[in-house]
Amino acid sequence: MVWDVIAGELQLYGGDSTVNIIRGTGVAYRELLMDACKQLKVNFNEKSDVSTIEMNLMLKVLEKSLEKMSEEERQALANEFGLGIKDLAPSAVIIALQAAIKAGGFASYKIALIVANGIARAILGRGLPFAVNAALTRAMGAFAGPIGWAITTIMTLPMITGPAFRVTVPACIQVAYMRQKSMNKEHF
Amino acid sequence: MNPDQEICRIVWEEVSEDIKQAIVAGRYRVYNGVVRDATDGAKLVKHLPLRPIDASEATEGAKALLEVAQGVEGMQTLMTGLVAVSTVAIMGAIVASTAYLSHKIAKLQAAINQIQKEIHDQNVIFYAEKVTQYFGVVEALREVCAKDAVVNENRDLILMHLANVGAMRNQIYYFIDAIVQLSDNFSIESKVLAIDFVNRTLDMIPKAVCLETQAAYKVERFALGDEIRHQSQIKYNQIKEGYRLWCNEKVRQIHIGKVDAGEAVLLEKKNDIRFVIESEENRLLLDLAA
Repeated sequence: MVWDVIAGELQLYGGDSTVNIIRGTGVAYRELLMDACKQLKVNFNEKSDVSTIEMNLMLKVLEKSLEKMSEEERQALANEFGLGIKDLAPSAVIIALQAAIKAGGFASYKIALIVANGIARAILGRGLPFAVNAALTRAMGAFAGPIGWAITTIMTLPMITGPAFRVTVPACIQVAYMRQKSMNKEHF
Repeated sequence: MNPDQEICRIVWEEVSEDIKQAIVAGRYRVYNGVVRDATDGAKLVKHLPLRPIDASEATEGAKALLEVAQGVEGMQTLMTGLVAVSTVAIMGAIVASTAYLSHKIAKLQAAINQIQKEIHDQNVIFYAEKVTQYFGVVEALREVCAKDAVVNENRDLILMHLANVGAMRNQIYYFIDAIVQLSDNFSIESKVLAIDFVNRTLDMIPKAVCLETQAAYKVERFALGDEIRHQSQIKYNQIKEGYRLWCNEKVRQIHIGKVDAGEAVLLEKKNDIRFVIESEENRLLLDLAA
């Protein structure tokens, strides 16, 4: 199987090199995710399940990218999620998005899709290969730029200079997207 | 279907066009190889021409019923009209006239024994016993219905079996539903047993129902046979849908990280679960009488 090799490699990135050698393995994904969140000053509850913590990380990246967006782009984002808000300040949009996530449905998946696609474009030079509906494809394209700028800014912060976080932060976002995709799928 | 326990296929080439069209339109129906008028109290129209086939592969349990039936029918992929009638007729004949079901019952019994040994819940032990009884009566019914001479002599016995088997079948539905819910409190090992048991039972019920309906048709209780199949189809689909939703919810919980890693056992059983949920064979057996 390939996935376990990739997972093992990612877990090694999450651990200290010397400790990894002694321990023989890396750290659990949950620990790696929480470390990434702490580095990015994400507001999260350590007792939450991983998908909630991942969503907090996604929202942090989205919040940073909202700061880079024009008012028209923020309005487009609010429309995309059907937020129905007049105050388009980044913090207000994030609060509305949090409410949309709590309401359930498709919001978490859409956020994960938009953020993971923007980051894939910024880091890999191309978006995620998948088929979604036309409206969502437009949204993904429109927000890829600001999300790319946000992640570039995050990665150049002095606290993110270590090579591990440059790997684990985007990887956690990719894992979060894969989890959301799987959670929105009927397996049987 | 055949007094000598041969498995036969319907020779459609020798059937007149007007009868074929009436079957496709639903005016005529095929019961145990006989065309009957569905609009006129199941009055006999014609005995269909039958030709023996070799279905020995199916009796060994190596091949799925549908696979054997499709092999006979020339690998038809579009299950409509006469092809579907004919396919269901072959599947029904294999279930009724061979050791196919007893092989499956033996495997299910092994799973039940294991469950009774490992899971010490009184409800589980009680209901597992009911499952054994149900399939025991179904097999007894099959033995009585296998030869026309025995059927003619023992119509009362068949009716008695049919009366008992209906109540038992309904108990099984409750049990499947209950064991799925109860398994949340089982150990990982017991959960594996429970999932295996549910998969096996869900796969066998349509075959057993097919046998029940054929038995009813053999004693010319056409409305009873149709009702058994119709009611079973509704309940089976409800139970299967409940199981599907439960499985999806469990997978979601695994992906969210809400459950222990051991719960991932469900993912290892994914193919077995999908097989029984998506089974075209079972859908056809419950959808059509032939």
